[in-house]
Amino acid sequence: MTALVLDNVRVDHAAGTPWETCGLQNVNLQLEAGERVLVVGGNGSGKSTLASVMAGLILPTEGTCTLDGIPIEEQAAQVTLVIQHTRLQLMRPTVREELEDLADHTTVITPAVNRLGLNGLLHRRIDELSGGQQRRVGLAGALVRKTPLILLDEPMAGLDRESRHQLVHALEELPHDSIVVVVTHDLPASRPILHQGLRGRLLHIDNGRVRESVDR
Amino acid sequence: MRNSLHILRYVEGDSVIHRMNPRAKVLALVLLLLVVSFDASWISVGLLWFLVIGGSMLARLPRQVAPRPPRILIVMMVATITLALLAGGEPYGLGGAILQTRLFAFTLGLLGLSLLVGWTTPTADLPVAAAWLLTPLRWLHVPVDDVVAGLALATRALPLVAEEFTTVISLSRFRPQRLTGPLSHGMDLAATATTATVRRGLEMGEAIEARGGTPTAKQIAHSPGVPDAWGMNELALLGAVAAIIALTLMT
Repeated sequence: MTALVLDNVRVDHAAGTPWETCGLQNVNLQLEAGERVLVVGGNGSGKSTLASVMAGLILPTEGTCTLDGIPIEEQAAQVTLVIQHTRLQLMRPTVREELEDLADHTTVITPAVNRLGLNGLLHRRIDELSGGQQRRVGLAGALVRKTPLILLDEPMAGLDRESRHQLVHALEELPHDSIVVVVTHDLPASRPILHQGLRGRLLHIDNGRVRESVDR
Repeated sequence: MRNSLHILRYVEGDSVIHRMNPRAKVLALVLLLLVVSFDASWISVGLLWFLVIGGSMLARLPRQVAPRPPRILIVMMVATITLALLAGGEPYGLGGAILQTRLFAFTLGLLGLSLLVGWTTPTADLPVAAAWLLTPLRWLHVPVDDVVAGLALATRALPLVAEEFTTVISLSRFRPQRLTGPLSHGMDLAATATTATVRRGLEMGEAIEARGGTPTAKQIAHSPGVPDAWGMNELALLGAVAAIIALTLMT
């Protein structure tokens, strides 16, 4: 069973420079396969830093982050990260090429395309899409890759009510044995995600500390 | 993300260098860049480094602000000097290598001086200094307002764009590369980064239009937040620069 473990993680941004700031401190977490985790907190609280640590993009200044006992930075193939500014991670010219590039030879992209309402956009250029549409393409990429660890950083940001609703339902298609972590400040819209996996967990972050963890 | 760059980041302080009129600092930098570039002798390179190290000490900058040079840069510098060694030249067949070393020392010195200005000057003050410096070019029909607006935008956008480039490169590790190959992958990275930069520029342009358009160079040059006064410190700096220029021209 997959387990993501953060052991006494501390992150100092720009460590050892005059611009050093504390991003996370004393974070201890163990996330198990099938869990749906909502991470909520205010601006600058450390939500995105936590997602970056879980993705292996930021190495902890202290402590460790491991997936199945192996340092997370060595496991890029096991991780999907969809960031808020999704445009930065869509690297192919069209929607179809982007999704086909992410899929392996055994995967078909059609279910993900249908689920996220991208049928009419398949041949469109990425640059012609709105921010919300680009976000949906990024999420379709997560559905296509089906990695054991899926991290979504502010997936609701900039989406209208209908798109948010559509997105929450699309997340039901994610593999049930994957760990899905959703970083958000829109708790009411995201709350249904807690009921999608084997177990839901709600984490509050404030000043870089995970202050509260409420299990379903 | 990893190995973040710190471009144009101000280091808080109340030293004589911090308090110095930003126009004087930028003027000194531009003069040195223009004059010393034509003939960088060992003496002028030495004086340039004296200015960088002395200025950093006066500004009480911690050693940790200095970026650690990437290994590839050091390897390339050593390789270039080694190749220049093969060219021979006086004295003792070391002429090429000495010339190349002097060029690197001069380039790094100018880079250090630019960083020193960036660390000791609030980012918002740099366009003010540039506007003041460029305003006389209006007599030569140079589109100063546009140039200054571009500089002001670039100053604000550079850290954001650098951060986005870092993000693009970091996120690329999650993508399979079996079909594309390294060359195509590199082109995808470059295209994505360029698109993101253009988009950022358009967003900033729209924001500026929404706030009534860009101010003129004259308005920027006399920003109320930046003192106009020139005192002994500014004169001392320009005196040191004049000495370096004179020595450069004489040697």
